[in-house]
Amino acid sequence: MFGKYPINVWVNEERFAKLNEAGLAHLTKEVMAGLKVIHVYADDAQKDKLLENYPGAKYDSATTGSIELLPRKVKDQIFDLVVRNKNTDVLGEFLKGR
Amino acid sequence: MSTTGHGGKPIVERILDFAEAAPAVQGLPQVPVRSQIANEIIGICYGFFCPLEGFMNRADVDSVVKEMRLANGTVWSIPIVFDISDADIARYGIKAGSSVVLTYEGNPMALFEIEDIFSSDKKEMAQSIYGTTDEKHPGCARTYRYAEKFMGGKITLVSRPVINEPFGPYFITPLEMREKFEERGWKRIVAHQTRNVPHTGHEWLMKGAWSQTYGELPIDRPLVGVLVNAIIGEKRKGDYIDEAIILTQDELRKAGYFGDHNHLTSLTFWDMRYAGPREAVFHAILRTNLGLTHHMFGRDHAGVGTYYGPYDAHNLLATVQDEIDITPVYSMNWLYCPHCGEVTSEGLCNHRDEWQKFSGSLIRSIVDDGVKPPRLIFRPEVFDLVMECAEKYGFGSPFVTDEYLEKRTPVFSIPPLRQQSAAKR
Repeated sequence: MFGKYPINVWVNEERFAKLNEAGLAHLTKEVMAGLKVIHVYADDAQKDKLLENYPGAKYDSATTGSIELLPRKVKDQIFDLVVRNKNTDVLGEFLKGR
Repeated sequence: MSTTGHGGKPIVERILDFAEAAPAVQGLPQVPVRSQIANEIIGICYGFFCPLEGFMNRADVDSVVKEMRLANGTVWSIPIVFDISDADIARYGIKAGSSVVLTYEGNPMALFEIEDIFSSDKKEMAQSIYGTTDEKHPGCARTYRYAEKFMGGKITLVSRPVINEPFGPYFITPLEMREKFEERGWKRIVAHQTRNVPHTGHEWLMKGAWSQTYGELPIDRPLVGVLVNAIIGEKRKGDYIDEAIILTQDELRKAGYFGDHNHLTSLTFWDMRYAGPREAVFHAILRTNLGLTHHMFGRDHAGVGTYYGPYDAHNLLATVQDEIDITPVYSMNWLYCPHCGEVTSEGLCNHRDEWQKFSGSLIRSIVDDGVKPPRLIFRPEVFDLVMECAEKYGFGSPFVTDEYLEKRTPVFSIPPLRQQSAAKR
């Protein structure tokens, strides 16, 4: 069951190729002028844990409606998990032990 | 080009050279000032705030608060005040009629000839200037932080600021600005107020305003320029770092999206008040003093949150238009239309259901990820430079962090009072 708090993982050509190979290209959404994004969703507990682990991050309910300001390396790790698991439901694994 | 500033007064720099400054400050009490006040000293002494010659006295503050005018009737929208605690007044032995030397980061910066010491109702000030007394409004919060007393009187710079790199080329004083415009042959110049790294929505705002400003002028030679005037002042966590703002704005010219013939980037020291309509009037005055003929105003100019309506600033400007020597250029938003396949104006395109609007938050999210956006929405040269600035100036981030606030090189420094060997600014 996907959560309701999206994380925007932005997709450039290199990332799109990896998603394509993982059979996930259809999950990307075009946002602006061809720029693609793939959403990884957090549930309430995962959202809270992310914000606790990364105090600079925030849930931007006013404008983007997404969890923002996660460190780039965190987003990179989440993206790598998506590709490896061929699935966007990866936050449980990502947060395990954190 | 005329050196007349706002209110029909000539732009006059209030700066002593070393031979005059050293004896003038000899033996005076030294009062340290914070960055906001230092910014405003520069604004006053170089003529950015013409016709002000110093911090406002009681009559001017009262009149600005109640009437949006100086006591002599000249339109002015935001009080420029020097606040001080009763304890400091006693500590430095300050009285009306006395003088002190204001120091910044330990060095003498300006001579302050105190004419008036007074208090003012901060809630009334906030309500009048910001249209609210809500302490969550950053301008109100700043007003409430003021110490209990204010001092008015003339200010004269005794030591010119040294503008640190990479900002040096962008500090252009009102008198220098007029020389730049003369050199370029510009007859009309439109101001673009910014605190942002530009995406193409911003770029097209400028291009649209340039076109509006050109109007009926002959097109056989370049006669119109855009002046990007970045506001450099207090930073909040999450803002773009100053270095990225100023360098990327100039990159639009260097990379050819504009050119020397129509684009110039500069900065003004000012701590934003987010006063919406009143700040728009202040911006119009400031850019009049920079010698500009036109000024862009978008929706909710200089606003914050939901305190102001989208056209409140335009409506207030209209009430004083005859008394401000600058023409407003009202700008509609630019957006990306996938149907048109281009960035277009919301006033032109009718594929409303397909519009993809620029969102500062989304652009920020993209920049955070380090994923280069399509050139239609973010110029690659600008993106590369943002990333370079993050490494060079931002301790790894293009956005303000605690580390940046703690360790950054200040935009300007005040050198010890001595003969300044560098060329005068």
